[in-house]
Amino acid sequence: MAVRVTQNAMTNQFQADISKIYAKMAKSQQQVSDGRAITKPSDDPIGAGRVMTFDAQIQESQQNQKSVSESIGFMDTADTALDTVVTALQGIQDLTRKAASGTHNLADMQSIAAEILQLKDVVRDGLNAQHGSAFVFAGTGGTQPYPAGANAYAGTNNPLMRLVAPGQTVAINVSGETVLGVAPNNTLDDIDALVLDVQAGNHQAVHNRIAQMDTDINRALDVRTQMGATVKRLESLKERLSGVEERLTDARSQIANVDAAEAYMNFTQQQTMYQAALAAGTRIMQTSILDFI
Amino acid sequence: MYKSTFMGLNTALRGVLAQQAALDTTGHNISNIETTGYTRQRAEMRASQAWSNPSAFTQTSPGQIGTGVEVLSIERLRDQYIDQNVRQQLGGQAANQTLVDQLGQVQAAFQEPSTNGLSKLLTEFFSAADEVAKNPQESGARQGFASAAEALARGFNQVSADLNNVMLQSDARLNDTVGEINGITSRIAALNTDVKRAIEHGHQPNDLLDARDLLMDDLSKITNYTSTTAADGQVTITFGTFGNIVDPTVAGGSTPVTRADLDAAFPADMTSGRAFADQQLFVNIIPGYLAQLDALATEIVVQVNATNAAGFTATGAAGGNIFDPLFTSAAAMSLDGANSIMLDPRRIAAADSWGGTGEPLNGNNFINLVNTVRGAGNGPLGGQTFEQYYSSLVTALGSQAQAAERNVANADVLVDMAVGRRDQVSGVSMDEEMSNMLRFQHAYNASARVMSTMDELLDVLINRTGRVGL
Repeated sequence: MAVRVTQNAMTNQFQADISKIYAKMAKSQQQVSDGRAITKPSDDPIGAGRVMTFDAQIQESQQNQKSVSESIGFMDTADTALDTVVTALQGIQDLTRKAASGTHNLADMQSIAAEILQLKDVVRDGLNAQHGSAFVFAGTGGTQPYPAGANAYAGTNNPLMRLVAPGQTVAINVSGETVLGVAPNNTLDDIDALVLDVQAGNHQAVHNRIAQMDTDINRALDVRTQMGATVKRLESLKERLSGVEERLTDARSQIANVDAAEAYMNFTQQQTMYQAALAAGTRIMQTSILDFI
Repeated sequence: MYKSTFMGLNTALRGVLAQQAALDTTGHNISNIETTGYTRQRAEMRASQAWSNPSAFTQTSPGQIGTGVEVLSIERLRDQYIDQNVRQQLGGQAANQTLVDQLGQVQAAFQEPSTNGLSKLLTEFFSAADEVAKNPQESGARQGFASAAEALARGFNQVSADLNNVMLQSDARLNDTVGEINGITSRIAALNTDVKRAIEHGHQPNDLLDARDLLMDDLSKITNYTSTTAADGQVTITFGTFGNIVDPTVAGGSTPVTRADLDAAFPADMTSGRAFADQQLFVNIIPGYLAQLDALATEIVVQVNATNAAGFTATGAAGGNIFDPLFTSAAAMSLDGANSIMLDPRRIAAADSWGGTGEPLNGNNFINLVNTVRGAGNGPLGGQTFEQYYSSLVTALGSQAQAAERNVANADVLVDMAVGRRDQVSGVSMDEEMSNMLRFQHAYNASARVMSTMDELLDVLINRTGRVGL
């Protein structure tokens, strides 16, 4: 038996086809106009999950980059402070050598001692340096690590940890004790002892202190070198992180964004199909046997 | 025995009447071309009994003379096997369409992937924690974390409430469904009675049967059932182990179902239709997502609280709870009221130790939160991190919705095919009816012409013969 096609069947089929093409066109139109390939998870379930993961990773990476930049700023402050500290210590060393030479009278020695004490304050100020409200050499403590009038370290030895990459933490500070040594035999104590010897005019005793001052200077210089290494590491990490973010953003957009050219081509194709279906449908459905009776 | 002189007139009359009946049927078909559920009808004709029957008293004559035509019945062109197929496909289509609609709402509740979803809130929560870790002495950073934690809890509340709404919609629709089913079955029962009466009187109740078939189509969109038709034309409809919902042998002809009956039928007896989809959504699907959301909320509450409790606050005290430990469901997740970090952000325990005169710069406990707790797999979450767990939840939801969308597309094709096959048999074709009309019209005219020819013959016989001598 030949297939029996009725007007209603044709109309139904036509309407179903038109609405199918229309749904596709709506989808393409949305993609062309807002550029997103995934507007709800069911558009691409795996893709949606990956987009979410990428989004989290991108934000994490941005947060890490922010932390790295801030850490570098913090360490720059510490480095500048250490620079003045080392310079002051070297100044003290020069004065010490001068005092040890034995060519100065007691009055000269007194003025040298006063100069050394001034430089000691420079050292103290350097170690009390602040980055924002934080004392960079006080560890996790919130007060000056070397308050005036005392030589003992008032900060903590806890490190300031920063998360600089997923699973990667870095201590960005050094404690005052690392720079100056531990009281009662730290650099400030050494300077005080030196000042006493200078004031007493004891050239030999002052001479004996030169070696100790060298040790103190080297300790501070070592710390500076170590911090320099950490800063270098952070700077290379910063570059790597921004590279990672770029790649993540790229990968995300491959999944999440539509290829504009392709989407537009699809849209045009569907439009043609839609018009063809309309033209054919309306022309066939208009005619019936009634036109010929 | 000679045949009647007027027999030809009767034969022509039968022809006229039969063609008229056929024309009436054609008219009925054309009028109902747009009627949903209408089945085309056809006047079945056959030659009426010939004159005369051979018997001992009958004179032999050269063969029988036909007496014309009679309408045997008005046939309804319908195939009940196609109907069964259509109903099966309609049930599948309705179930999948409901799933697609509701899962669409579930997806809307999650708002992923976007910048408003829980994943964004979760990322922001950890970013805020990192800010506290870096600047524990700054009250702004602490306030930021408190807001982020509050926003996260609110986010969970919102998604949970939205999911709950979708679930309650299914519940409400199931309640409505009970009324719909009972309405349909009582109407089918009434039609059953009418059909039986008509058939008993020897009629063919085509239009009543159409109405009943349409109701049965509607019922199949709600749930699956089985049906049998008895010789007297009445249908019996059986709904799984519940038994007959339409049964001509019981008083009233139908047995109403209750919501409890619908619930008891799921999932063993119910396998398609809107009610099936709603049961799935109400009993399995949405509670499943809610449970996963609750598991995630619980684990976040437990881990974040434990981390905070291990640390020291900005005043050097041991840390308390961030989230209220009593409310671990996504719906009720909230900041701890007694130890509100919103009211006093100093309660955030960012420090991992508190020695000497205090460690206001110590954020190491929160470094631990952002680094270790965030990155660690959680046993109750199947060894996944918070973010992995949530992302696989959304992926699973997406897959389920996508599968439902594909099933709807398939079901649409199947329904189109089944309905198309039904239309092939039962649908009214205008061209066909019009050409039939022409045929019946000509046949009618010809029969009428035969009648007037007979009339002329009789005119000659009666008025022109036997006039000799007049």
